[in-house]
Amino acid sequence: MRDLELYHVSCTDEVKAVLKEKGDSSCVMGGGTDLVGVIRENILPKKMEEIVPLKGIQELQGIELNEEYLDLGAVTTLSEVEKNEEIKNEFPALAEAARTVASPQIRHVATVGGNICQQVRCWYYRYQGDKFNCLRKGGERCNAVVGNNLYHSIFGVANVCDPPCQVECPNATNIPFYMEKLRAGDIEGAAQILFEVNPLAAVTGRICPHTCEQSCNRKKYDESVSVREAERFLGDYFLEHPERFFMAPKEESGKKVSVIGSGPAGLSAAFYLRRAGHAVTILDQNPEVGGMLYYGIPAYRLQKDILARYKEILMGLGVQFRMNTKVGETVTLEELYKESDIVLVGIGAWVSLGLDFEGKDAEGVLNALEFLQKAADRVPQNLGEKVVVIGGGNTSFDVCRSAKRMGAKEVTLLSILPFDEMPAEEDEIEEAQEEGVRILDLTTLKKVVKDEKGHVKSLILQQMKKIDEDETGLGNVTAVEGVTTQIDADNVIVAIGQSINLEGFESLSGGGKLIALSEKESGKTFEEAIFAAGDAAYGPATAVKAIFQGRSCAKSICDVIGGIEALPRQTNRGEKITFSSYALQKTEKAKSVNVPLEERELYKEISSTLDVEKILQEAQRCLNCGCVAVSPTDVGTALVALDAVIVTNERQIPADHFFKAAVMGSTVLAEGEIVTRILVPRKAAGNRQLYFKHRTRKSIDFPILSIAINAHMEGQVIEDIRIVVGAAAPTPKRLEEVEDFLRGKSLNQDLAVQAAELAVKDCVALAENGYKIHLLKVFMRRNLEKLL
Amino acid sequence: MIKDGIQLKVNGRTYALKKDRDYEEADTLSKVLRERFGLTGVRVSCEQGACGACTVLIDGKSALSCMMLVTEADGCDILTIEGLDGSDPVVDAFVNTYGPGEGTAMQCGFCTPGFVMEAHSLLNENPNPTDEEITEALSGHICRCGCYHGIHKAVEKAANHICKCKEEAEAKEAANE
Repeated sequence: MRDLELYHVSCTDEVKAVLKEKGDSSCVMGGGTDLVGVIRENILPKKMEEIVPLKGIQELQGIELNEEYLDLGAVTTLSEVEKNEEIKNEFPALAEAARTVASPQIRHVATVGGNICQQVRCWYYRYQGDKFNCLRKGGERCNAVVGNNLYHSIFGVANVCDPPCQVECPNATNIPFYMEKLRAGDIEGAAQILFEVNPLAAVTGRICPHTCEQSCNRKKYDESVSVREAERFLGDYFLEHPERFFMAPKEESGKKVSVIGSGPAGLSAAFYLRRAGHAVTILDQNPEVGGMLYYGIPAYRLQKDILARYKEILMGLGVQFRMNTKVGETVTLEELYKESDIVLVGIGAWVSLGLDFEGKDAEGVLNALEFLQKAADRVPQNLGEKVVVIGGGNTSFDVCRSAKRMGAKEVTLLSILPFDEMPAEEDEIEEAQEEGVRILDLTTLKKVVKDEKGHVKSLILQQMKKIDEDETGLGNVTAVEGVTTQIDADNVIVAIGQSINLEGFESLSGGGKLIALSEKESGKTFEEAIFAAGDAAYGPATAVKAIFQGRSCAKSICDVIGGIEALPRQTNRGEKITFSSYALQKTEKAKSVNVPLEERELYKEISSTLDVEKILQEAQRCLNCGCVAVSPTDVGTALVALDAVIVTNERQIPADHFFKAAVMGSTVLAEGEIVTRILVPRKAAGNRQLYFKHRTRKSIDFPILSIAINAHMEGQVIEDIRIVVGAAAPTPKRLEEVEDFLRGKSLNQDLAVQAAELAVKDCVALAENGYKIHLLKVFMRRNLEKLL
Repeated sequence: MIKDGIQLKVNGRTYALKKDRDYEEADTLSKVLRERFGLTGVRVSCEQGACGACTVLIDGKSALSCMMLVTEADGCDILTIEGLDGSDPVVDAFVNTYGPGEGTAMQCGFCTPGFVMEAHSLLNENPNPTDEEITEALSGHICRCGCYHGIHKAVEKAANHICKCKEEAEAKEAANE
């Protein structure tokens, strides 16, 4: 076993002090019958070094029956509870629950407090170390959902931490939450959730690289959920029903904000700022709204009318647009600063990075942004038949595919990186290849050979090879000496990245290449009342990042000039979440169908938004990643039925609210908080009680299903009843609907049958635990009949 | 707060143990009993609280010595099979259960000390157990030879024997008066 230190203390204050001082590597020990095994087998990924045994602490000991309560010390052993005559008489459900735990040797040592705080018994969780990357241990997935789930939850999933899709989304979009709404058929609700964090979803639904999908747990099962299609659908839904989403502010704040740049960062910030009641003016150097979305993304991926629609909607809300206005020329930053309360700079990254090669001054060598911008403006570019694009990222593919659509016969992409390390999205690469784009990986341009007019004629290419990762940890490539090839070409387009042109904003740069921020998250610059967002402040990145930065920036602006209440709050899936059993079947990911190759055109959208049925179906595929392990506590189930109160060194918690599925925990206890006593009210203890436990063998086993019933009966009439099922849900689950149904009724066999039906109404079977639903139904009926 | 030593009463004698000399903090009771005291009647098999072989009595009650840190037993009275009387009625019953219809209570003997100590724990508290109570008491023990029937019988016999002795002693006392 690992090295341990045991801190013997005499009161709970000292316990707290030790836990506080030692932090994460410390924990308390009741009887130790679970903990010793947990430590010995290295079940927890964290190192457990300091243990505070609680048995010697007097305030935690003793059983006392006073006028109101049974007052149980947390370190009372289970055998003391099981054999106590007073408990057996008045709280038989509790005595029976204690008696069913493990075996006599364990009950002689194990404590009541330990029993209600024990960790889940899921085999993936209990595996040594963290081989399974278990969600409950702070990992990324629940293996039991699609793995062996014989004993797992029939009442849905527990939300133990943010799911990987949400973690990977630069905008922290609560994807599973809107998927859950979609599953319920609530399109409006789903749209509201997405809209709150991303009013530009019609854009991102088309062009976002969707890192969420790359981390989707479903990918390990069949294919990721198509967040893209759902997002696109919902984004279109906003635009079809703008009146339900884009609300004009109720009051004007009287503050004025100038937003420079109408790209994703500017549009996002402008929307939130306007919603907060501020007068917003967007300035842009170009004639059209959208910035890089308009001029950098080809129309076949993002139709320009979507951006025009956004402009129209924002204008409807009262946002002013001053197009063709370049700061530094038409107007100066100082003038803007004077006429507004806040200036937000979101000018993007509009400089194409150059590449050094011999003959780069040849006619026919173009840069990507200029090329795409001209394409957007429908300016003819006289491309030759053979176009070579240098890059490997998404923009280079935009260039290749645009060139193809402009009539180039042969389009070749040169990537200096190996094929599978190109940063572009998989789909993008696939579709480009489908359209006939040739990819030469591990190849770079060495020299352009010009014809007599100084135009590109052919290219000499240098073969590269991969070398081992260097000390910086980055993969690297180097030229293979002497291996070159020559190909014919008419044009070379360089698409290797962008940088920022700070002309007119030099005062904000602090000498660097970006606009300098005094606080990274808030977008504050070193100048008062000037904020920045998007590529200009954070470096070239995706639209979704810019949207996020625009929103965060709007938030910090509202912190200064007011209106913060109009900005969105983080949404939560709630503690208990569900998914559809359809998610457990192997299914195909929804994909919008691209138009046939021969019909692909530069200004025609390549695919259309999926219809509502397909989207609702796709939402069924989301596993709503959470933990399906069940709470194994016997005593806890009985305590919830008896309406007990858990007393800690900090507060009193109703047993009902004590249990919570969390990362490496199963209770709501905070750090340094320990259970001290348990109060079981005498008034709530009914005259008919039972605790029933079903397990694979009669003793020394955890429940597969348990039922605790605490009923007040007058003859056959149920005056009041509490029914709790254990090992069926992530925490002991009260069946309130069944209780309401039974209350006030005279119990008979028919009623028990109906109640049993009601008990399983909300159950969802995993692949292997459907039998538990039948068990619950049968045992519910039988146990209710026992009350007769 | 960290104890530098503990006191254990083992099989009737009290010992003072020093940390790092006699035990380490991470040591379980079973390890110390076997390796420091040489009490190998404490069997260790599964080491995860499932087989019952390591059962000893702590203050008269059965406990799994493999699932208890030795420092947690500080000040306790520990009884292992080595501490039983030469003429222990439970051991006698285990040895002498082999008749027709009884099965045998011990074959390889590995699990026997655990079962015997468990039987003591039960009979200390409940000298007259029902069948069901015996089954429940023995439920935390595994016998790989499958002698459960014989073991059950042996515990029953031991209980009868202890009751009989007690009655006889009481009768004798009454007669003496």
